[in-house]
Amino acid sequence: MSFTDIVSNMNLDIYPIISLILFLVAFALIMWSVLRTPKTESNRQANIPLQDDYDLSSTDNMHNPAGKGASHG
Amino acid sequence: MSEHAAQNEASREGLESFVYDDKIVRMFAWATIIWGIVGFLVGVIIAIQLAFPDAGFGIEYLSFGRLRPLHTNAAIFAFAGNGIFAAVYYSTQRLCKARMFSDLLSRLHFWGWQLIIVSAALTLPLGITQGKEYAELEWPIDLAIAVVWLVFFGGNFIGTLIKRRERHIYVALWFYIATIVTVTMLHVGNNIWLPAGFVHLIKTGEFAGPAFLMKSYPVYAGVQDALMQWWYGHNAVAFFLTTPFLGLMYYFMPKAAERPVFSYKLSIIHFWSLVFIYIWAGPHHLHYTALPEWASTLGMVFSVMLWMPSWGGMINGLLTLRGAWDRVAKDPILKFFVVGVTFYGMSTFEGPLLSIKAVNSLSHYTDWTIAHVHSGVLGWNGFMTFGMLYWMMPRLFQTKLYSTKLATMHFWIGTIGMVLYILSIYTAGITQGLMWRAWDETGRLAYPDFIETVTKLIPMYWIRVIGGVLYMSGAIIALYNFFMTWKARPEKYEEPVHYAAPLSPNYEGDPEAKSRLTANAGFGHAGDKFLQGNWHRRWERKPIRFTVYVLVAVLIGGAVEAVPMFLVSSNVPSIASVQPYTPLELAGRDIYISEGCYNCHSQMIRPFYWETKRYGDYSKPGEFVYDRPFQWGSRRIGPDLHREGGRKSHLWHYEHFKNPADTSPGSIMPRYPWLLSKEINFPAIQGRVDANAMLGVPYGDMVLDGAAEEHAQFQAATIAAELEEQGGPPMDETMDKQVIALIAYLQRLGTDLYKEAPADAQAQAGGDQ
Ligand code: HEC
Repeated sequence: MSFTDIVSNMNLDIYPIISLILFLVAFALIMWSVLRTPKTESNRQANIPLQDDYDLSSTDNMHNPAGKGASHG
Repeated sequence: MSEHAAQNEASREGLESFVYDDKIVRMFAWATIIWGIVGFLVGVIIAIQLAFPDAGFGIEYLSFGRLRPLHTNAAIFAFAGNGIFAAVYYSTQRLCKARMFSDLLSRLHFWGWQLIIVSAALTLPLGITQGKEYAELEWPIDLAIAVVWLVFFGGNFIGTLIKRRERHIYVALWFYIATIVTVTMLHVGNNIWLPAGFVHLIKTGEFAGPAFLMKSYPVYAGVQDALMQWWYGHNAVAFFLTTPFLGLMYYFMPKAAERPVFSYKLSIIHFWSLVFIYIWAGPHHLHYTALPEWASTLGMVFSVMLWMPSWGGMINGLLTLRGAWDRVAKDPILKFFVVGVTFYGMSTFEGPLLSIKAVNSLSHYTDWTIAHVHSGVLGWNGFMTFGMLYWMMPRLFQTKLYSTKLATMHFWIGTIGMVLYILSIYTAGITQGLMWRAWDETGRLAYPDFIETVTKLIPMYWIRVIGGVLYMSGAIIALYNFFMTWKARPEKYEEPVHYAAPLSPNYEGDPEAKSRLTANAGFGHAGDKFLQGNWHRRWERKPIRFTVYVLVAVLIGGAVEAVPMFLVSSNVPSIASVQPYTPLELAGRDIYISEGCYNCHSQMIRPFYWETKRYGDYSKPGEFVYDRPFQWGSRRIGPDLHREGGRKSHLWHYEHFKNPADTSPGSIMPRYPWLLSKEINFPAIQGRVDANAMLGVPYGDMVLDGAAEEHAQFQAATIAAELEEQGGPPMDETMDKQVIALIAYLQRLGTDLYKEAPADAQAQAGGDQ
C-alpha cells in the first residue's frame, strides 16, 4: 500500500475543515495577544516612523518596565 | 551654540553613528518611474490593437499575444517591483535605524533586477515564454529571479533587521518580511520545470536553436498545473501587489500626514489576517473549470473572508488622516494616498464579489476581470507609488519639489484616465458576458456568432485607449517634475550622520509573565502566563523566528490546496481515449504557447448551457493530462478553442492566420503572416518529445533517435496535402511551415473524448485507478 493509496482513501472533505479550525485557533490567539498589548506600548510603536529622523532617539531603554509610558516624540 | 554642541557630544556617548544609503533609493525611484512609463506605453499599444487590430502591422514582435505579457510583467515586476524596492530601502533603514546590511548586495539587487527586466523585454517579444500568466519568463531568467530576490534582496533585508537599533519591528517591516518569504515560495513552487532544450543539448550534443535552448516544460500537467499556476497568480497579487504596498502605506502615510497610524493594533490584526487568509483564496480563479468542487468552494469562502481585514486596513489608512483632511485639499501627496487607499478598498470589495460563483459565471473570461485588475494596479499600486515618489523625491534630492501644481495636475489627469479606463471596461465586460449567455425561448443563442459580441465592444475599447493615454501622460508629467527637481539638487548631497544605541544583547524586555494564580497546577499557571499575551510581543522582536512563523502560516494554506491534488489520482479521472499529442501537434502547441494565443483564447468550456451550446461538450479534467503547461486562459477576447478540432477546414485556418478579417469580417485577431513563411524547427521536435517522455508521457518508441522528427515530417506532409486538396497552396510550399504544425494542433484539440480508446490504452488507464 503506497502513501498515495492511503491519502486517496482518506475522507478529504474533512481536510479543509481541520485546516480552517487550525487557522481560527491561531488567529484567535494572535488577536488575543494583540488586544492585550498595553496602550502606551502600542502608541510608542505607532510613533516609530515619525521619530526615525531624530538622531538621538535610542528607544532601547524605553522598553524596560520602569520606562514604560514615558513619552517621546 | 558651542555649549550646545558639547552637550550633544556628551549625550552621544555609547551611541553608534550611521549614515543612510539614499543613493540606492534614488536608483530604484528612477527605475520605478521610467519602467512605469514603458509599461503604460506597451499597455496603450496593445489597447490600440484591440480597437484597431492592424496596429500590430503584421510584425511578429508587436503582436498582441507577445506584447500583452510584456505589459503585465512590466507593470507588475518593473513598475510596482522597483516601487516596492524604493519604499523598502528607504523605510527599512529608517525603521531599523541602520544602513542597509550590505551596499554590495543593494547594488547587486538593483542591477540584477534591471537585467531581469531587460531580458524580459527581449525574450517576450521573441516568443520565448512559459505560457503561464505572470510567470512567463523562461527558466534561465527564473533562476536569476530566485537569486536576486532571495539572496540579494532577502539576504540584505534580513541582515538589516538583525543589525537594527530599534527593538520593535514596526508593522511595515512585517509586511515586507511576508512579501519576501511568500514570493520566494510562490516563485519556486510554480517554476518547477524540465529545461527541455538544455537537456536535449546535454544528452545529444545537438544545438537546436537559441529559442529551444530556453524552452522548458512544467513538471505539472493539466489540472495540477492550473491549480499551481493560480495559487501562484493569486498570491502574486496578494504578496507582490498587496502586502508590500500595505507596508508602504503604513510607513509613508503617517509620514505624509505627520501623525501616527490610526490604530496600530488594527494594523497588526490586518497583517495576520491577510497572511492567513490570502493564501487560501487561489482557486477562485478556476470556478466551474475542471477543478474539484471542494477546492473551488474553499477558495470562495476564504475570498469572502478576506473582505473584512482588507476593509479594516483601508479604514485604518484613511483614518490616519484624521484631523488632516484640510491638507488633503492642498497637498497632492495626500490626494494620491487617499485615492490609492480608496481603490484598495474598492478592489478588495470587488475581489470577493467576483469570487462568488454566481457572479463569477458572468464575469469570468470577460473584461470585468481586466477592469478589476486595473482598479487595483492603476488605482492602488500606481497611486500609492506616485504618492510615495512625490513625498520622497524632494527629500532624496534634498531640495523642494519643482512644481506642486504639476503634481496636482498629474493627480487629476491620472484619476480621470483611470475612471475612463475602468468604467468603459466594466461596461465592455458586462455587455459581453450578458451577450454570451443570452438565448431565446427556443433555446438558441441570441448571438451565436462570437464576433458579434466583439464588435459591440469596440467603442468601449477606444475609450480605454483615451483613459490609458491620460494615465500615461500623468506619469510623464511626473517624470518631468522629478527631472526638474533633480536638476535643483545640491552640488553634493549631504549625508547626515545619525546616532543610536546598539541593541543590548542581554535585553530582557517584557519580563516573562508571572502567573497571577495562587493555587493551581502547572498547566493553569502556564495558561495564565500565556493569556497575558507577552509571547507575541517577544517573538515580534525576533526577525528570524518571526519569518519562520509567517512561512508556516502561508505553507499551511498552500498545502491545503496543493497536497490533495498531488496525491489523489482520483481527482483527475483518466479517460482511456485521451492520448498524447503527436510530435507535430506538440510542436504546434508550443507555437500556440509562444505566440501567446492564450492571451485571447480559453481552452476550458464550463458546464453551462450557453457554453456547451456555443462550444460543445464541457471540458473534463482527464482531457488535460498531457497539457504542459495547461492553456485554459483567463480572458476570451476570441472564442474558446477547447473543441476547435474538426470545426473548420485546414484551408479556413490557413486563410484565417493570413488575415482574420478575410474569414471573419470585424475580427480583432491579429494577422500572423510569419506563421506562413517561418519554418518548423524539426530538429527540436525530438527534444520536445523526449522531454515530455521524461515527465511521464507515454511516447513509447517515439523517443528512439529521430523517430519523432520522422513522424512529424510525415504528418506535416499529410496535412499540407489535404490543405492543397481543399484549394490551398501547393503542398511543397507549406509542408515545412509553422502554420501546418499549428493547424495540426488545432485540429486535434478536444477530439479525443469522442474517439475509440486504443486497446492497450484502455488496459493502461484501467490499471492506473
Ligand atoms: C487579440 C486577440 C487574439 C489573439 C492574440 C488570437 N486570437 Fe484567435 N481569435 C480572436 C478573435 C476575436 C476571434 C473571433 C473572430 C475570428 O474568427 O477571427 C478569433 C478566432 C480564432 C479562431 C476561430 C475559432 C472558431 O472556431 O471560430 C481560431 C482557430 C483562432 N482564433 C486561433 C488563434 C490562434 C492559434 C492564435 C495564436 C496564434 C490566436 N487565435 C490568437 C482573437 C485573438
